[in-house]
Amino acid sequence: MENLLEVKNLQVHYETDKETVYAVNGVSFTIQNGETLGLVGETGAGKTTISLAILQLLSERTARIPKGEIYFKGKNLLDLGEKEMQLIRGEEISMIFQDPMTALNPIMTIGKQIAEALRLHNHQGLSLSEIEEKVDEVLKMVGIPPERKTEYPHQFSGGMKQRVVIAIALACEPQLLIADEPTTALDVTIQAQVLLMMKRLRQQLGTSMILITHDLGVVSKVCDNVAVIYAGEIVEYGTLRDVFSGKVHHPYTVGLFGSIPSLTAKTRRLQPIEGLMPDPTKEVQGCRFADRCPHVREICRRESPSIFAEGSHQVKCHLFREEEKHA
Amino acid sequence: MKKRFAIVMTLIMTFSLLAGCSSESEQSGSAEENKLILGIESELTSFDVENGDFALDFVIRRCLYEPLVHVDPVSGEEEMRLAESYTVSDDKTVYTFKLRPDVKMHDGSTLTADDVVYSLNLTKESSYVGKNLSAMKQARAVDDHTVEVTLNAPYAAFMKNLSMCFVLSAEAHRAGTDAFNEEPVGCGPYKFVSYENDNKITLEAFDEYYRDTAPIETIEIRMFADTSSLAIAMESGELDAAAGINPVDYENVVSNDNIVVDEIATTKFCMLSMNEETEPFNDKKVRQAINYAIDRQFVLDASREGKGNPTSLLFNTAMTCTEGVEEYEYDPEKAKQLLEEAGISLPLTLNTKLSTYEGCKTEAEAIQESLANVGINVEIEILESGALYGGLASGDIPFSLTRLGTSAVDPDQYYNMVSENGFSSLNYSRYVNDEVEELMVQARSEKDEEERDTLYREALEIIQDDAPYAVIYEMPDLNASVKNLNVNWGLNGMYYLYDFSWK
Amino acid sequence: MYKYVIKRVLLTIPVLLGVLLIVFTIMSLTPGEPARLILGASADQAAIDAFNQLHGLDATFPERLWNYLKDIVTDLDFGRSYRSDKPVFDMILGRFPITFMLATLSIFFSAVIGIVLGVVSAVKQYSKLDATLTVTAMIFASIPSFWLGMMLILGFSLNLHMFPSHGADSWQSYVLPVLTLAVSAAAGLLRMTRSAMLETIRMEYIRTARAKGASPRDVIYKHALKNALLPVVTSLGISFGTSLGGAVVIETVFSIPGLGMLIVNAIRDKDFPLVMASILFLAALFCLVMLIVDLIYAFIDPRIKSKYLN
Repeated sequence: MENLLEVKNLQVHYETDKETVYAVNGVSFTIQNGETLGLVGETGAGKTTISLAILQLLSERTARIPKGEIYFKGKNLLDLGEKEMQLIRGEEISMIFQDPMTALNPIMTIGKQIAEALRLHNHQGLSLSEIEEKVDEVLKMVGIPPERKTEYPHQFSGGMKQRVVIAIALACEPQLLIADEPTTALDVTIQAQVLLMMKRLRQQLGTSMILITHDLGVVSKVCDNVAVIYAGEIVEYGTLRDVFSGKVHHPYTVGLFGSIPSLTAKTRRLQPIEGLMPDPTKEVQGCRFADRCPHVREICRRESPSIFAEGSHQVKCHLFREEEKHA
Repeated sequence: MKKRFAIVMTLIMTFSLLAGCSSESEQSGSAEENKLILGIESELTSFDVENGDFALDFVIRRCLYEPLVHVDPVSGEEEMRLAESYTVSDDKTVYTFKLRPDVKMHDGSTLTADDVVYSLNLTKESSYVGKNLSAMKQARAVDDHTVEVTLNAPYAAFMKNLSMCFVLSAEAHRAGTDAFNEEPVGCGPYKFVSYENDNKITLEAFDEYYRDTAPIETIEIRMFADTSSLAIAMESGELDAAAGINPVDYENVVSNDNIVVDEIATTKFCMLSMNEETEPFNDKKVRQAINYAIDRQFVLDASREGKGNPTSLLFNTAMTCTEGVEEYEYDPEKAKQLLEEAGISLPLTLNTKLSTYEGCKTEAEAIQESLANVGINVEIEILESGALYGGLASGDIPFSLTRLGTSAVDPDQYYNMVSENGFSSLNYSRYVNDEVEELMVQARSEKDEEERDTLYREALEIIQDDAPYAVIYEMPDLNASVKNLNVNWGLNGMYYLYDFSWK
Repeated sequence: MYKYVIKRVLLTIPVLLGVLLIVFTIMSLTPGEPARLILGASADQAAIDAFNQLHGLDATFPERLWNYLKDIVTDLDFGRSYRSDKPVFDMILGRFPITFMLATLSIFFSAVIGIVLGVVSAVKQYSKLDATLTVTAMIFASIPSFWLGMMLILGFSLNLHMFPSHGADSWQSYVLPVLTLAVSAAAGLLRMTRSAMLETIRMEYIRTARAKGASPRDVIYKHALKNALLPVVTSLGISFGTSLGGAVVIETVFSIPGLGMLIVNAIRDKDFPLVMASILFLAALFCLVMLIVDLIYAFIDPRIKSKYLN
C-alpha cells in the first residue's frame, strides 16, 4: 500500500538577522491511509513546525527548508507553488489548531466560516443553496444544531467552538487531518467528548490523522502509531504497543512516561527529567539529550546516535547500540 | 500596476488642467469686465451706517451711502454732496442744510430730509460711531429738503466729523435691522448685490446715482483673516488691489512688475503710556528721559522695515498745528543725565504690558534694547487684549505699549488722551494739566482756523514738555494695486471706490 | 437598539450642560470686558456702561447664568451676537456648512489614503515600501498643519497658479485646505491602520483561514481588514472631532469663512452668546458623531451588537 504521507529527512531552520534556530533536524516518518500518528513532545520540540511545514504555512520571511522531502500521495509538496498548495489545504490536508477561542473569526457567523471552506474547494460547482445544505450536514456531524449557523463564535462555549473548528476542517472530507493539541485548551470532561467525536468521524470518513499532543493519555486512546520528538528529532517511533509497553525505550520517553507502569518486568524506576532542552540556536555535536540523560556516556557527546530498530520500533540512542553489541 | 499608475497620472493631469483654466481667466478678465477685485484685511460688522468701526465697514459705507458733505481731512476743504448748500447761525450752533432734490435711493425712492434726520440719529446713538456726532444736540427736518442740526456748543470740527456720517433709507431701515442688512438701501454710487460665505461682497454701480455713474461697473470685495494671505493673493494675481499689506510682505509684493504699492499716511501711531499716578513715572524727568532714550528709527527699522514716520509728537504730523513743535531727538546721554537728576538708581527695572492682538512685540523688543543702553531693564509682558484695556481703563497699568488711531484728522481727537475726562477711555497715562485742558476746550469751539491752530500748538508744546507718552512712530497704510488701475487711496483709510477706474 | 440610542441621546444633555457651565465660567472669570473689546479703545465710560446695561453684563455671575439658561429652556433663545447683533444660531448655521465640508472631505480623503496605505504597509511589512511609508507618515504627522498649508499656497497658488490661495467660492478653493488637513490626519490613520492590521494578521483565525486554502489576498480582505477596521473606525470618529478643531487653523491660513474663524473672533471679542452657542453646537455635533461611530462599531462587530441588544 502506498504511503499517504512520507516525510523524509526534513530539516527546518528559522533565520533572523541575529541567529539561526535549528527547529527541525532530520525528521522522517510515514502515514498510511486511515492511520493516526501521535506526535509527542514538550513545547518547543518542533511538533508544530513539522505540521506547518507539511502545509507550507511557515513564515515566509524566516523559515527555510534546507533539506528534506514531503511526499503526499507521491508528490513532493515542497515542489508545489502557492496556488497548488491552496487547493490542497482544506481539501486534502486540513489542520486544526490549539486554541478554539481565537481560531475563529469573531465577526463572521460560523455558518459562513464553514461555507468558506466549501466554496474555496467547490469543484463540483455546487450552488449556494447546495453549499448551505452541506453546511447543515457538517454541523450535524459534529453535533451542533444547524439553526445555530447564523450565530457568532462568542455565542458558543469552548468545546462547541472546537467542534466548529473541526467542522471547518472536515467539511471537504480531507484525507489527512493534522490536529495540533486540539484538546489542550478544553476542560477534561469536554476533552473526552471532543476526542470521542474525532474518533467517530475518523472512522466515518476514513481520515488519516496526525495528532500533536503532550498528553500521553490522549495518545493512548486515539493513536495507532507514536513518534516521540525531542529538540527537533524523532527519538523514538513505533506502534502504540511498542512505545507504551515495549522492551526498550529512549531515556527521554522513560522520563515522559513517569509513573505509568510498564507491562513488562523490566520496569525503569520513576525519574524526573532534569534540565531544559538545548539552545536551538546552537548546532549540536553528538546526542541532543546528552545533558539531561541519566545514562550519558562519553560517546554521546561525540557522535550523534544512529537508529536502533526492532521490527516496527525505532529508538535513536547509543545505549542500544551498545547493548546490541553486548547481546 | 502600470495601468493603475497611468490612470492616476491622467487624473492628476486633467485635474491640473481644469484648475489652471479657471483661475487664470478670473484674474486677467478684471479690466475687460470692468470689475474690481479688492482684498482687505478686515472684518465686517454690518451693512448699515452705525454698527461697527472696522476699516471695511467704512469702505462699504463709502460705496453704498453718501454723506451730506465731504471734507478733506487735512485741508478742511469742503465738497458738497447730498447737501446742496448750508448756512450756519451766528452763534455757530445751528447748521441748516439744503438737500439736493434729485437724489435717488437704490430702491427708486427719492431722498428726503427724513432719511437724513433718521440716519443722523442712528449714528448719534451708536456706540461705535456716536462720537462723530457727540457735539450734536438734535437734528430735525424743517421740510422735505431741509435739515436743521443743532449743536450743544460751537464745535469747530463739526463738518469734518459730519463727513464721516452717512445717510441710509429710513423707510427700508425702519422695516427691521436684520432685513435691512440683507438688502441695504442707500443713495451711494454702488448698490448691494450679494454677501456670500461671510467673506465676499459684491456691489454694482448704481446707474441712477445723482452724480456720474461710477467708472467701475462691478466691485468684489474679499475679506482676509491675515495680511500674509492677502499679500499672497495679491502676488498670485487673484486680486486687483489689496488694502493693508504688512511691511514684512512689502518686498515680495512690490518686486512684482505688475504691482504698485502706495504708502498712505494715516493717523495710526505706536506709543508707550506712562501712568503718572505710579512710580517712577510721577517724575517728569523720568518720562522725558525715556523719550530721549529711544532710538525711534531703529525701532521702526526693526519692526516695520522702516516703513513709517518716526516721531515723538502726540498729534499727527500731517496737521498744521504740529509745525515747529520740538521733537525729542535720540540722545541717550541726556536721558542718563535726566535719570540721575531724578535720583533714579540704575539699573531700573520696568514691566511693560502689550496686547497679543496688536502685535507690537518686535517694537517692544527694540525699545527694550534702546532703554537697556541707558540702564533701564524692561520686562515685556503680553496680555490678552481684554485684560490690557480693562487694566488701562482702571488705571492699573503703569507702562504699556499700544497702537492707536483716530477717525478724523483733527487735534480734538486727542482730547481724551490728555484730559481727566478720558481717564476711563484713552488717557492711559492718567495725565492731567489744567492749562492743556483749558486750551483744548477753548480750541474745540474756536471759529477762526488760525486761532485754533495756535491754541492747539500751544497745548501740544506743553504736552510734549510734560511727556505723558513716548510716541514712537506714525504708520502708513501700504496699499497695493495693479499697474493699469487708477487708484485714489485718500488719507487715513478714507477712500471712495467711486474714484477708482481702469486705464 | 432604539433604547440604547435614546439613552445615549439623553446622556448628551448632561454633557452639554457641563460644557455650558465650564465655558460660561471661564469666559466670565478671565479678564477683559466685551464692551471694551467690541467698542474699541477709544470708547468712553458712558458708552461702555450703556453696552453693559443693554446686554445685562452688569448683573452678577449667578444672575447672568440663570438668565442665559432660562432663555434657552423657555424660548430656545440663544441670544444675539454682541458685535453684530444677529441671532447667533443664524450666524452659526450660516458658517457651518463650509467647515463641515472641509472636515468631511478631509476625513474622507485621509481615510482613503491612510487606510489603503496602512494596509499596504502592513501587508508588505519589512519591505522598502513599508519603511518608506512609515517614515513619510511620521514626517507628515510631525509637520504643523499651518506650515504645510502655507507651503502648499506658496507652491500651488503663487508659483503654479493652480489653485486659489483663499476663500471658499469654487471647488478649487477647497483643494489645498482639504489636502493640508487630510495629509496630517492620513499620517495618523496610516500608522493606526498599519498596527491594527499587523496585530490582526498575527491572530489565530488568520492561520485557520490559510489552512482552509484561502489565498493570502482573501485572507487580507475578507478576514484581516474587517477586524482591523474596528479600532480604525473609532479613530476616524475622533479624527472628525479633531478636524473640526484643526479647521480653525486652516481657516485662518486660507482665509476661509467657516465656523472655526467665527469662534476665534467671538472668543477674542468675548462675545458671550456667540461663543456659548458655537461651542455648544460643536459639542453636540461631536456627541452625535461619537454616537454614530458607536453604532457603526456595533454594526461591524457582532459581539458589541449583542451587548447592546441585551
